[in-house]
Order: sequence, then structure tokens, then C-alpha cells
Amino acid sequence: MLNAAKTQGDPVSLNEDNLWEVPNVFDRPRYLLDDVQTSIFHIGPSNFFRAHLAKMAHDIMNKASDNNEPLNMGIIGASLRSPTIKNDLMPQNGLYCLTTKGVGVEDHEIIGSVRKIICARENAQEMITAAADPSIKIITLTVTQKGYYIGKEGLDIDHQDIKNCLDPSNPELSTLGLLAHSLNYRRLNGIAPPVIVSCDNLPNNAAKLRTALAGYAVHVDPELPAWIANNVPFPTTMVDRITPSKSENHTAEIKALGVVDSNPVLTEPMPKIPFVIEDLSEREGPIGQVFRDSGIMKFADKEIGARLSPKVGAYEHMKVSVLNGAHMALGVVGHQMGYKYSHEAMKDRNVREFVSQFMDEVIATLEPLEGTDYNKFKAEVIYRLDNEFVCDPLTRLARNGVDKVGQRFLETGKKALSHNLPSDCVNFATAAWLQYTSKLTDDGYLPSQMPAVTRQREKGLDVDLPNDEKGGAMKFPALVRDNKNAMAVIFSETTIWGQMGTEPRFTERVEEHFKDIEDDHMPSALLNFVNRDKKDFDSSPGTPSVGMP
Amino acid sequence: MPESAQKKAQGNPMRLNAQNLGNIPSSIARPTYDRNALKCGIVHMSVGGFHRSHQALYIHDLMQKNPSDWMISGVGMLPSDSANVTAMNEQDVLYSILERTTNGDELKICGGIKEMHHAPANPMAVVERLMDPDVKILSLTITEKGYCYNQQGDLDLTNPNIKSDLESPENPKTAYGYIVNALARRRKAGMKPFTVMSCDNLPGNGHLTQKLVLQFATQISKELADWIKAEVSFPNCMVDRITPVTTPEIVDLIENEYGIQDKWPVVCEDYRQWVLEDKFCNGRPAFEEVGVQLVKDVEPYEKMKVRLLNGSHSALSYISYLMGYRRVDLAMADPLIAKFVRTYMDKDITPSVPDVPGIDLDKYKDKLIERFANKAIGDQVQRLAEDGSQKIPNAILPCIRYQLENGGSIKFAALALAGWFRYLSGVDETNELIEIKDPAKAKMQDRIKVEPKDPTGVLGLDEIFGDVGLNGKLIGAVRDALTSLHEKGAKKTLEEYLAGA
Repeated sequence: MLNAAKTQGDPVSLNEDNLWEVPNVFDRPRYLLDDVQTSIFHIGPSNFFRAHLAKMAHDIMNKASDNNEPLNMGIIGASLRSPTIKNDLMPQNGLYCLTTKGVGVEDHEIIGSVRKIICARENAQEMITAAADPSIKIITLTVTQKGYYIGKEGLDIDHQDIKNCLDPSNPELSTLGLLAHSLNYRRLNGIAPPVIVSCDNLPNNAAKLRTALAGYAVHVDPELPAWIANNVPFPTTMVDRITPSKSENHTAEIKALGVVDSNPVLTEPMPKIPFVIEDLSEREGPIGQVFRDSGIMKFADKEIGARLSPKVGAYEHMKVSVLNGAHMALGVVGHQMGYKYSHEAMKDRNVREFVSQFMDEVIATLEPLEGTDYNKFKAEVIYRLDNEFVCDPLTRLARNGVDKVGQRFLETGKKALSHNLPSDCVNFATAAWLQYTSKLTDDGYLPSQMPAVTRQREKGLDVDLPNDEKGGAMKFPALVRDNKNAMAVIFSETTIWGQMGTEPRFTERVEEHFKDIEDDHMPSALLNFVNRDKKDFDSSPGTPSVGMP
Repeated sequence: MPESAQKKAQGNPMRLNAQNLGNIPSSIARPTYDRNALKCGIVHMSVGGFHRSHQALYIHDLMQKNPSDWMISGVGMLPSDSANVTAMNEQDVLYSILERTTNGDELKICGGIKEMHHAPANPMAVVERLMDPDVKILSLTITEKGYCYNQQGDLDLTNPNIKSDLESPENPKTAYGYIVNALARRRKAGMKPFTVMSCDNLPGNGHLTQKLVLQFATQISKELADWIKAEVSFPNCMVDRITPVTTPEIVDLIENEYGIQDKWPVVCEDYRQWVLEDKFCNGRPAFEEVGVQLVKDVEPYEKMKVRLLNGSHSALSYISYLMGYRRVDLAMADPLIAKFVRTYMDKDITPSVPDVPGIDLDKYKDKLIERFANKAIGDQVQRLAEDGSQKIPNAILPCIRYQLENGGSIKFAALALAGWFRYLSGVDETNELIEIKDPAKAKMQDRIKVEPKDPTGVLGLDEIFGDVGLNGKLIGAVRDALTSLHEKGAKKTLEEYLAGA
């Protein structure tokens, strides 16, 4: 017996043979791993993927096992560069622990849907063949925006990765090369096409992938782009589940609970709408057929969590404007209140009230969306912001404002103005962002962050640069700093404001709030703001937070 | 209007109807033929402003010259057509046409339509009407969306009305339901079929209509489809006359200036053109007597017209709307917009327009600009901006495809598309709501609103843009224009685009 010598209390090494010795605090797969057939090929097996798609595929198989249905949602993970995840998970037979923590929630589950992980660096051809295998019906991706190689004109043909990938003597495979070659293999060998599902957190993710792939495919075979266009479904998706990167504390915690897992995942409770997939099932011809036959519709089940919809953009818009909008509003306001983390700032009643009012304002501008109660979505956002286990730094929530303020604040502001709805929370949040921005260095960081950034750089490590693709935008902090009394100069930055910079109903209010924050500092300005509609509210100094209803 | 004083009606205005026809002022032309004695040889589906200013007037002219059994039986196809059908019937299917030029107006009473039916009220009565052996032509102005075709140019079998027409042929909703039902009955009864004549702005309208009718018929019976293919003609044609929506102001003007109470007059420019393929399986009116050009090959005329006129119309509408213009003539009076239209025509459209017999393209374009600028008709920008998803694939995308294949300019076409996408964001440059009418509005907005400056998502709608939407050059050019429209506004963008042109 392999584990005969093991004494009680010793942690169990996670693998298939030891699965039944895993302590009961961990939920285990209710299906037999040996019975699982793989039909999903996933490119980029990230932590997010393991908390999201792999968890849902796992749930589908648990349910299938209960109902004696085929266990065919197994996943082959494909890592293009780093072998780390393969080296971590393959000795564990693909098993890993997924920990879910939220306010009042703590679950640990052993996920069994990832049956194999391969690495392109080790064998690119094997990977192409695996992706083209007839048993693979669904190809999913979480490769981040960088993995799409989208340039100004569709495919970024000058990108070094693409050049490498197009060079037959160079075995370095890119996402697009893998997809194009495997699709061409299917085309030439009469193998039915897969559905290709981008699960990256990008608006119009499918269109971006499809466009870049069309640009690449023509170099593989001139006939390939038309074959892809006529045969391969690319549903747009919206994805949502905050999943922090690996933490050693979490690994130690799992070990203390009795399991040795070299790469566990910690995540928040599954949101109510974690996955929306564009419904292509009604399409005529091969696109509809492939979509219906792929098994992707199994994710669209109340118990699993995804939904099918023709309006993925509306869900994306809800997420960006309500959730991400609240993130940014909380980040810039909370930081100036002196807090460090999301859950800390949310304990402050004025911050909490502001975030709540902000979301009400956003929600009023949204068009109705079938099966979606925006107020429930809002309540869930507050629950998520309260989650101390996610431990989101406010500086992370506030970063890259130059790129994000348009979608997160200004679109809501425009919509509110066009419908004569209130938009003063957006104005206040914008003013707070400008104040926050004025404190940044030209590098886009707060001075307090600079020592850590410098240390990272000295070690030669990648620094998660704010606005790393927009060098010019970094001039903005200085512009704000130098023009605190000449807001017109700030608003003339059309790349940020567009036509909102000449909209007096917006600029005048932002300017007022900016001055209030400048003169009174955030705690007092915020207190006055959240109580702006209360007539008998005494805003004189010395009485903040006293006598609040 | 200097002449208006002369026209000013004497006494009480009079209702337009057959009885009063003899009493209207002699300066107003009216039918002098015996409308009751003439039979209907044509059934026309979707009687709107354009049909009444164009085909019905050609028929009227012919009846004046040479009365024959080619009167029109009009059909309102949509539930919302009910009021107009009633209005026409209450005035004995007479109506006035106000032709407006900068030199003055001319009013005439048109009698080319003899009767009006409302199809949704009694669909089978329309099928019965088509069984009259005197009916030899069925003509159509059902607009692009009435044809229910997909991006491949095939019949959209997922369209709910098409599904319904295939499932319940006794209750037709689409033109195909009526056409194929009536043709099947004619075939069964051993009657001659009627010619099906599309008068819509579609590329190869006759060919396309034939293909779609055959695809519909094939769903019912292969034999029927074969018979239609062998026996029914589908002539191609190019039609042209700018006909704005009839506003209440026009109704008032005709009453006040001419003393005629007409519930549904039509207003148009004085220009008109009809180039028609001479291909009729069951006879035709002597169209050549009234200025219709009968030709062997309509295609060059149609390409010239759809690309230059309809393409420019769409292009100018969005930019003009964003700049605050609601009337086409006022927009064209803005030198920036006029220059944009001409530059767009010259650089991005003209290379793909074939040689057209007897036409000097430069003069044709001059005339178009003059027609667009017609102050007297005051065409609506909103009318031109409607249904972009139906018009642009025919009017603008073929030119873009041609230019991409031949390395030509797409700069102004890209600006036209960007203007459309900016307009579809639903809020104008002063944050006022834009009311958008387009069957693909929801689908397009779903992709635009999440990423207003990036056209990749919306251009990826292959049912509208096909493979052109994946072209990197187009994506880049539209991205530039769209970003500029959002950041700098329409006026500044036009100035920059036209600076070197």
C-alpha cells in the first residue's frame, strides 16, 4: 500500500490515487476520473480559468454522474510558454484545490475536470494535433488581450511573436498560430470544426479573436479564412469572477487542512452571472450546427451558472459600468479617505453610501435586460467589495483611469444627461479621480508606491505598469497638477473627455466638486456630498458623522 | 415663394375626390382620361411616397397620352398602412404631387392608381386580386428589409414572417407569401403568370427578387419553383426620384396655397429617372412613350445610381445629423459637408462605377449635388439615416470592397461608416438622445456601446459586413475616423479629413 506508512494527521499529497484520503473538509469529484472524456481544449490555463470554466465543467460532470449521463466535459489545458502549471498539476493528475471565500462563506473543493496539461514549448506539433483531434468540440481561451495580437489594423503582423510563429524554422507557437494550424488540419482532413470561445475579459472578445485569426489564417492557407468564416462559431462572451494570483499563505492553509497541493486557487464566491455566451444556436448552416453539437450549451444551466443571450454586450456594459465603475469610484474616493483595501473602505459608512448612490445612478441609465435584476446585481457588488479575502488594494481599483474613465464614468454621464437623469455621483467620482490623478508621479504611481516599483525594476521583474501601452497618457497627472485652477486646460484633453469636455452640465459640476475636495479634503467633501439631498443636514465643521440619520 | 400669391386659392378649400375634379383651378393638371373605364394591369405592393411620385406618375402620364388597361391596383402591406389606405379610398384614390424646385412648385393631380387595398385586413382578397387575368405585372417597393434576405443574399428562413408564410400560406405576411401563393394558383388554373417587377434599390433587383422568390417556392414545391423559373420574368430596373416623407406642413401648404384638401399628398423633386430591362412575360405598358429608358443591361445604371446617390445619401446623413442638421438642403449648404460629399464621390466611389452609355459622370455628380441641395423639397436627414444596416451593404460596402481590392482610397467611406457607428451610440454631440430606426439597431448597439471608439466588434457582424468587416485596412481607417469623431467632433474631423483633399 502506497500510503500505508502515513500517520494520521499527515497531509495527503493531492493525486488520483490519494483522492479518497483527502479530508472531508474538501469536496471531491462525484465522478470517476478514469471515465472522463475530454472535449474541451483550453489555451492559457490561468487561475481565473481554473476558478471559472474548469469549475463549471467540473459541476457539469458532477451532475452528469448523478444522472448517469456521459462524462465528456474533460479539459486539456494548453500552456503556450511556461511549463509551470503543467509541472505543478500533472503530478497531481490535473487535480487541484479551489477555495471559495466570501463574507460567511468558506469552501474547499477538489476539481477534476482538467485531465491533462501540455506545453507548446515542449512540443508544438503535438499541441496542434491535440487541438485538431475530432474529440475536441470546444476550444476556449484565457490568454489576456496580449494573446490576441490585435493591432491598429486587425492582426498586429509586426509583433515579434507573430513573426516568430509565421517563421517555419521557429517553433514558438502563438495563440493564433495554434488555432490557425489546428483549424487548417481539420479543414484538410474533413474533421468537423470546433466552437471557439474566448473567455477573456474584453468587450467584443470574439470579434477581436476572429479578426486577428482571419489576418493570420491567410498566411497559413489562402482558403482558410473563408472556411473559418463559414464553419466556425465564435460566440462573444462576458466572464466574471475575481481570482487573485497564487498566494503562499493559501497553499499553507490548504496544507494545514490536510492536503498538499502545489498550486491551489483562491477565489470569491461564484457571482450570479459569471458567464454569458452569445447564443448562436439559431444560426443557419454549419455555424448553428457546430454550436448546437459542441456541448457549449451545457454550461447554460441554472445550476452551472452560464446563460445564453443575444445581448452579451449589454451584460458587458452592466459589468463595466456598475461593477468596474464602482471599483474605480471606490478606489479613488476610498484611497483619499486614507484606506488601503476595498473591504476596509467599505466599512466607512460615507464611502459605502457613496458607492451605493453611484451604482443607483448607473443603474438608472441601463436599458432593461431580460432575466436580470440590476438591484440584485448591485447588492452582489457590495457583497463582493466587502470580501476581505479578495483583499483588493484601492490603488489597483483606481489605476489606469486615463484609459478607463471613459467607459466607466463618462458613458454613464452622457446617458444620464440625454435622459435627464441625475449624474452627480459620476461628476463627484470624476472629480475624485482628478484629485487622485494629481497625486500620481509621471510614472502613473502614487509616490508611496514608487519604492516597491523601483525594487521590482531593480530585480529585473515585470512591473504591472499602469497605462503601459499609452506612454503619452502619463503626462496627464502633471497636466492636472499644474492646472488645478484652470480646469478648462484639463478638459481640453479630448482623448480622455471627448465631447464631455465641452459639456457645461458636466464640466461645471466636476469643477465644483474638485474644488470642494481640494478645499475641504475628502472626508468632509464626501460627507457633504452623500448628504446633499438632506435639507436639515448640518455640514458645519466639527460635526461630521454626528446626527446622521 | 413669389408665385404663391398667384396660386393662392379663391374661396373655400375643396376636398380632393372624383366629383370635385372638374372644379379645381385650371392651372393644376389632373387626369383627363376615364379612370373608371380602364382596368388594372398592375398590382403594386407597398404604396408609399416613392411609388406615388414615380411609377404611378409614369402610368398617369401614359394614360393621359394613350389610355390603356394598365392602371394600378395598390396594396398597403403593413398594419400601419391602414390610415393611408383609408385616406386614399376616401378621395377616390386621387392624390396630388407637389414637385418642388428652387424656381418654384408645380402641383398636379395623379390618377394612375385606381384602387387601394389593405393587405393585413384581408390577405386572401389580395391573393384573389392577383388572380384577375387582366393583372399582368406585380410591382414592388417594399424596401430592403421587405425582402428578408441574409448576408449571403439568400432568403432568411429564420425570419419569423417567412416561417409564418411557409407554415400558413392562407395568411400571408410577406411579399413572397402573396406572390408565390398567387403564382401557384395561376399555374394550377392554367393561367399565364404575371411579371414580378422590383422597383427597390437593391443590386440587381430583378435577379435578386427572382432568386428569393425561387428559394421561397422551393420550400413549397420543386415543381412550382421550376415553373416560376421557366415562366415568370423578373426585370431589373433602376429607379430614381428623391421623395421625402410627407409632413403635415405639406398637407397644410396644399390646402392653403392651392385650395385642395388632400389627406395624403406626395412631395418630390422635379427630377425623375427609370431605366428598365425590357423583359415581361405577359406584356407591358408602352413605357417608352413616357420617358422610361428600356435597355438590355440595367446594371451599369443601377451601380452608378445606387453607389453615387444612395451611397452619398447614407454617408452625408450621419455626419450631418451629428453636426446638428435635420434637413438635407441645410446640410448641403454647409461647405464642409458639400465638399465631403463631392470628395467621397470622386475618390472612393467613382473608381468602382462602370462606364454608363450616354452619361457624363462629372455632370451626373454635379446634378446629384444640386438635387441634394434642393431647398424647396427640404429632404429629411433622418429619412436618409434610417435602416442603415439595410442600405449600406448595397450602397457603400461594394465600393469599399472594390477599392480594397484595387488599392484605392477608402478614407471617406471609412469616415461615412464611422459617422454611422457614432450615430448608433444613441447620443449626439450635445448629449441629446438620437432616435434610431433600424432593424439591426439592437445587435449593432450591443457591440458599439461597450467600446465606442473601436469598430472591431461591430464590423465583425458578418451578417452585415461579411468578410469586408475583417479587413485590417478598413478596421484601421474606421478606427481613426471613429476616434476622431468621438474626441474632436464631426466638424473638426471633417475639416481635418478635407484639409488635403
